[in-house]
Amino acid sequence: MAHRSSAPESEPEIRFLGYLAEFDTTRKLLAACNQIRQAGYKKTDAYTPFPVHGIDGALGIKRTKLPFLVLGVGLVAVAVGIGMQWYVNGPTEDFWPFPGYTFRIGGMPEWSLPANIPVTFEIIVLLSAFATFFGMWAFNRLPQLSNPLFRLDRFKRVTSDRFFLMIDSDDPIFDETQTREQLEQAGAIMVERVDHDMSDAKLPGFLKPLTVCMLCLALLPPALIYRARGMTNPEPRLHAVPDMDWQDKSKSQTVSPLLEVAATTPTFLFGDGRAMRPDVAGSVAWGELSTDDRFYRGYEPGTFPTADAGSDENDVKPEPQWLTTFPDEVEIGDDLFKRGQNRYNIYCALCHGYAGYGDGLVTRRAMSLNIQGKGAWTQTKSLHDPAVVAQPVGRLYDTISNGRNSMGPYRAQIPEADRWAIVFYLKALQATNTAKIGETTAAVNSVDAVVAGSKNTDKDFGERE
Amino acid sequence: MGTETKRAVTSTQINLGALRNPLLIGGGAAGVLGLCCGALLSMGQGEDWYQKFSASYLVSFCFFMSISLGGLFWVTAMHLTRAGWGICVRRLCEILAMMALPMLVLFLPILIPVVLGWNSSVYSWVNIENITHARDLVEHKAGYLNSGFFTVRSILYFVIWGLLARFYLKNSVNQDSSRDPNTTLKLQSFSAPGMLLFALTVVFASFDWEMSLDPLWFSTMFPVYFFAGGVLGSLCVLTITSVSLQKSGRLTEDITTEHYHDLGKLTFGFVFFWAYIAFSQYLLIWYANIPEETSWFLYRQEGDWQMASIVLIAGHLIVPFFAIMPRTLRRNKTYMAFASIFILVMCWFDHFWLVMPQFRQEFGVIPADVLCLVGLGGLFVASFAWIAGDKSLIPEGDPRLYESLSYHNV
Repeated sequence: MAHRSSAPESEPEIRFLGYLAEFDTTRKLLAACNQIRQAGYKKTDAYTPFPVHGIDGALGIKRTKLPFLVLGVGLVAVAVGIGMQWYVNGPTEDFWPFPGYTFRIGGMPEWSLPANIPVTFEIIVLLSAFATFFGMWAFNRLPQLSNPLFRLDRFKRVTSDRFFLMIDSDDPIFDETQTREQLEQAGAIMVERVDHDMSDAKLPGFLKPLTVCMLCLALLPPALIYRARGMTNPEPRLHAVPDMDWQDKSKSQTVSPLLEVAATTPTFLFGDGRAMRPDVAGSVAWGELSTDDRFYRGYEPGTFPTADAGSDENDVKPEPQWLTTFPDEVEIGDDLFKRGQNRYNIYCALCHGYAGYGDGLVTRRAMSLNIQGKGAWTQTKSLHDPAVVAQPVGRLYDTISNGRNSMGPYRAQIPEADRWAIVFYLKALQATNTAKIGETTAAVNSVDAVVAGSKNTDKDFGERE
Repeated sequence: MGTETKRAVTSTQINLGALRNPLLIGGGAAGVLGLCCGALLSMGQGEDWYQKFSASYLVSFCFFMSISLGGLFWVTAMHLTRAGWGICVRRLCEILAMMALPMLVLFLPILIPVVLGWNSSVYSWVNIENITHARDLVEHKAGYLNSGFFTVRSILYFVIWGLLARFYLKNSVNQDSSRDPNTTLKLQSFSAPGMLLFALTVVFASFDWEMSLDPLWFSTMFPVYFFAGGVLGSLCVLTITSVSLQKSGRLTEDITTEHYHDLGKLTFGFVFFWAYIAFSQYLLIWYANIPEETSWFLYRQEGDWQMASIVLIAGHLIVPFFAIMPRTLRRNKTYMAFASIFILVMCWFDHFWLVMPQFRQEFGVIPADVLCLVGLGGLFVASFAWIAGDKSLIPEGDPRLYESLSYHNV
């Protein structure tokens, strides 16, 4: 390259590439290949109009390593396919750079292997095909934009009825006279010296600026897309698939399809005039039977007061018999404590405060508004209030589920198991306030496992102790 | 270097010859002994012993039947595609296909209780009044699932398979002496309708014999699954038969590494085809999640049968897939014979997995299962020897035999 760039452009640079031997039958070509291989030549290649059986062995070409490349890529594709779907759809909540979409499709678990196998399979097929195709290019050093042999007139018959064997001049045992003789002895009808003028193998001068131009143009679409993100458009949207956009169906919460309008009363498809069919009486959604009063509602089975029980003269609302111990489904331990702490800090701490003294951020703000006369907020209850400490766990659970006074119900936001975890954490919070070091109080006694868990968080409440 | 063309068969012995009688007697003896012991063992198991025995019997029957059908498939497919490579092993396929006739006799222990309407029939729909669970749904299917129609259909399948197999084998054997190229043209021209007949009969046979064991369950993918297993099994049987014939000094020169390589490639392909079909069937049912479809899989996926499903995935897909992937191993006929035996065991286990959960709570292979396999296997070998007789084991008269003899993989 260095030499060429210093030389004047017009001066031809001739390189001797090797000898090209011509044969008129495959048999002669194969025989010649065998002889040349046995003579020790390595840098040889044969050119034929059609695939010739046995030419690989005759030329001494080893079996291709392509299958191993494809197998390797195929195995990588398994990891890529599974990994991609796990990252995008799996439960990867805190995963960089975005948390993924945890869609629940068809009621299946968010992450389930059967759903991901077809995509993985297709990725294996795609990447393996790429590996085969481009690996074949790489092993054959393709694409080769020009081949010096194409300039030889004789070589043009390689597409119809002639067979050629080329020996490269780079071969270690290549010799200008001896190689020619060997080829002639091997039965070549003609041996041609291939000299090639390398000077015109240079790329045309306009190609570089053109490539740069094309690359710049190729940046336009992504740039436009980038600019368009977040933009709004006053035009009505395009309807590419009209029968998907306007479907012949009734949506929920709409009027039943009208069959005919009689003289006075219209006739609906459904007599009650609703498009949506109500559930069959007594039907229960899958997994929502929740018959267990202890776990789902926090009181002993069958102790819920009947409707007329509340109308006594004292007007004291009768209460069911609240659970004093955790139901059997709740597994007491560190895990429950940590879960409870996590949920408490999310749902409860805003008002009740991290330590439960009713001094959460919302409460503080509300109280300051009260002082300024801009509101009439109720002070959030301290969870260390003796009345609250005295409440049985079932009652606390019920408060979380259904709310009390100005506190709203949380049963829609917090699943049952998490509510019990919060109750457990709450009991631990209360214990940190009432228990003295080395002393066992009644509060701790009832939930003695709590203490083990709350020790872990002592440092969080250190200043209060 | 593959340029020389081999024009004629050069092995010294190309028929069973002296091997025929030992195979007939040994296979027959093993068959009778195995089946009798299996039946005797089962008899001690209470009133419905016959149902338990015929469940074990059905597993092995369907296994060997699917192999015979695989043979018929390969003959038809080779003619349909004018395949050159496989002519050397086509006679073995023709014999396998012809074994549909002895299989008809072996089907009688399943068929007779259906015809006579015994309560101990392996199919619960024979006496609908005994069904307790969702009987009205089974009654809806009674137009198809009834003893009479089932019998007519079963006989029809065997008639079609027998006629097809006889057509292929007889013409091919005649060609051995006549060397008439027109015979090949005739066989080829008939193979397209033959393939249609084959497809239709296999579809309904698999519905009838294995899918109807659970009369409530249905899957349109099931016949393809049955077919995939049978084709895979027949490839393994071809490999094993060729290797053992060559070990005994038959066909030594004419079935070459190239043919084993091709059989190996097809085995590899059908191992994956089986898994592809199995998963296609599973995925749709799993995703749709409709109780009447999932119950069949749920029973095999959870509890005691879970282990059987895991064995099937590992043994029928993962192990063979990697074991016969390397080219060098596929070109080693001894290795391929052992791999084929392993895959055959898995094919049998596949039928076990299809049939047995309908009859047993817990997963386990009992002696009666093995005895039925041995018994039917013995009769299978004996009928192979009986049909092969003194026929040449290679279609000597095929005008394109040289293509197969001098065949080379690139």
